[in-house]
Amino acid sequence: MVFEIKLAVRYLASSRLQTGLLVAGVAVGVLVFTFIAALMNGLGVRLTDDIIGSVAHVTLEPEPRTPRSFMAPGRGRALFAVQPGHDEVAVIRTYRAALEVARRMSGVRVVVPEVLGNATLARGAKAVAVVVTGIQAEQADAIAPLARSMIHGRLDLGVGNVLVGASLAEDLAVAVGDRLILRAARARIGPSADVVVTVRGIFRLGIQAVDQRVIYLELGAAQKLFDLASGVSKLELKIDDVWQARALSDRLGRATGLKASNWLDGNTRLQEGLRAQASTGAMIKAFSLLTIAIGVASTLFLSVMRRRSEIGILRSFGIGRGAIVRAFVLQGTLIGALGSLAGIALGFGFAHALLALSTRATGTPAIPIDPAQGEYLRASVLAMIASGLAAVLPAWSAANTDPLQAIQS
Amino acid sequence: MNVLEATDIVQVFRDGEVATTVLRGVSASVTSGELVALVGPSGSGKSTFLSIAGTLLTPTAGSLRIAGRPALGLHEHAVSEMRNRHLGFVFQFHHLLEDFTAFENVVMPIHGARVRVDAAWRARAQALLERVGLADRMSYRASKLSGGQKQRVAVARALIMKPELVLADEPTGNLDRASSDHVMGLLRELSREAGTAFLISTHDASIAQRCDRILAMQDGQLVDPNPADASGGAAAAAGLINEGIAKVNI
Repeated sequence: MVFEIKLAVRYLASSRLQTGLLVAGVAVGVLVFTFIAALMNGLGVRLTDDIIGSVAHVTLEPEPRTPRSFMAPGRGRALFAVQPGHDEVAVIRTYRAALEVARRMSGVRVVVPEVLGNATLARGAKAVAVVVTGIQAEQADAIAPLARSMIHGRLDLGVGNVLVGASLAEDLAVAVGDRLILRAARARIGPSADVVVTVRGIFRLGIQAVDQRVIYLELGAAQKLFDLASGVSKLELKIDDVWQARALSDRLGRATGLKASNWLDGNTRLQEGLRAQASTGAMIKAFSLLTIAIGVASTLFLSVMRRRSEIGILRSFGIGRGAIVRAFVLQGTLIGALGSLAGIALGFGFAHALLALSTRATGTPAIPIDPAQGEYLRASVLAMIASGLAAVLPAWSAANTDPLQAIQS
Repeated sequence: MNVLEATDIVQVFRDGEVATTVLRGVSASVTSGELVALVGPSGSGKSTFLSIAGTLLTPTAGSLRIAGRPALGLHEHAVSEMRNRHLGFVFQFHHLLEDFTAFENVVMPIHGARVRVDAAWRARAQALLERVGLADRMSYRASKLSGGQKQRVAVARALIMKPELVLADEPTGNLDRASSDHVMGLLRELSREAGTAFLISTHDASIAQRCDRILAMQDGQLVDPNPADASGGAAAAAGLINEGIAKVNI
């Protein structure tokens, strides 16, 4: 193998310009590969983060209270025990057991008990229907990124405090420190049902429905508001691998006996979009590899033609076809390796430069490129394989050189 | 010992319907340490015979033994090994690997034997290069050497594996008279020193005269180089050579 390596290196070194151009071609191919990977993966992460950054990955809720007939079907009219309404607060009465089961399941990052209910928030004569989210103060930031979304005040869910969305705050013309009156939708009518809350923070999550309708309350206060004793409406979970949400959700549903749902089921269009985007990226990457392979193959074919008499003389010495094949495949692989290294450096630098140039004053890049996700190792390995494989045909052609014809020509 | 035994070699080249017979039952032998000239006009079949003797071409019919071993009908690997172990080649055009040094070119056939180029091989390569007068050019790239120097490197390369037979096709064809004489003197000495046989195809009468024996070829057949009248034989050989030169000049 030493001879083959020597032959390959010497041939590459002797045609510096040709080798340089080949390496540059491979480098550009790898650059395109890594750039597309960084861009597509970055875009995917941003889209996914935008969609699921503020919501739970898996939600555990009580089974819906579906109407149940008192009489067997076909025996006359049914009488229903339950008539669900829009302000029904479904409750997990004893949630701690389920919470422990969920916490211990591998892949679960955090479990957050929540109370959810409809209420009216009033300031003076103006009242607005809101959705109350009751959450433990120490977990206020666990599901939605409230801490970094605070535009006024602070994330403080102490006794009597409330956090309101930016649009809601504008509707009610409230500021931090203002006091408001909160009343549960199903509460008894009268002053005793009113709860006075103080605005401690105003947030903007960037989701209009949330910023306009949702307020955050401490869990105990929300339980009291909706008269839930120690029950909660649901358990919300963040998990390590968001793409495993469906499988984990099924396991959690079976383990807790609660109705489990996951973010994937509610975002099929996003998944389709990401899949389409991944397919497009894969095609572009495949074409870049194909370009590398064609470039390497054609140049090595020329090299074989140029060195036909030398190859013939080597064959006349008894140097076998295998050695000739190995020498040329090695040339392809070496070109692939050098080109990959250059391409990775270029790709990494280019992605960083683009990220820096496109980053706005807010710190968010206009182009959602993620240099860390350039698939550099994959790009280099595939480029080397493509270059090596591309060299097989020229190598085979070289190995089949008839020594007599080569020498006579 | 015969290092080459060719018996009734026939070579027919076919191009579609057209068949051209280049060799018509050539039988020849070369013994160990012998310097044999193969003369004849262009197209007489000298190069084809040399290619067959070098196992670079399989004849249409006939038998061939190299160093006492059958050389036809072998697997490609065995043919390669036979070429590597028992034969050396010197061509009209040196066919050195231009990107390698003189020394590297000389040791090149050792790689074909799949053995490591150890100190003993290196010493032999150095000795051969010194023997051909290129001790001070060992590390020169082939592309930096003159035509005569390149041909001397090719001679050293042909001898590195200690072959029984070296086939030389117009080895001095591209050299001036001085270089030509130098190379021929070298072949003569190496033949005597190492017992290596040389079969040299040539158009040059002076080169043929310096060999131990002359094989004269005409129209794909060997003509008798030793007729009853010895001077007539030499004259016939010289005539064939001159005819070859004339044809080349045309």
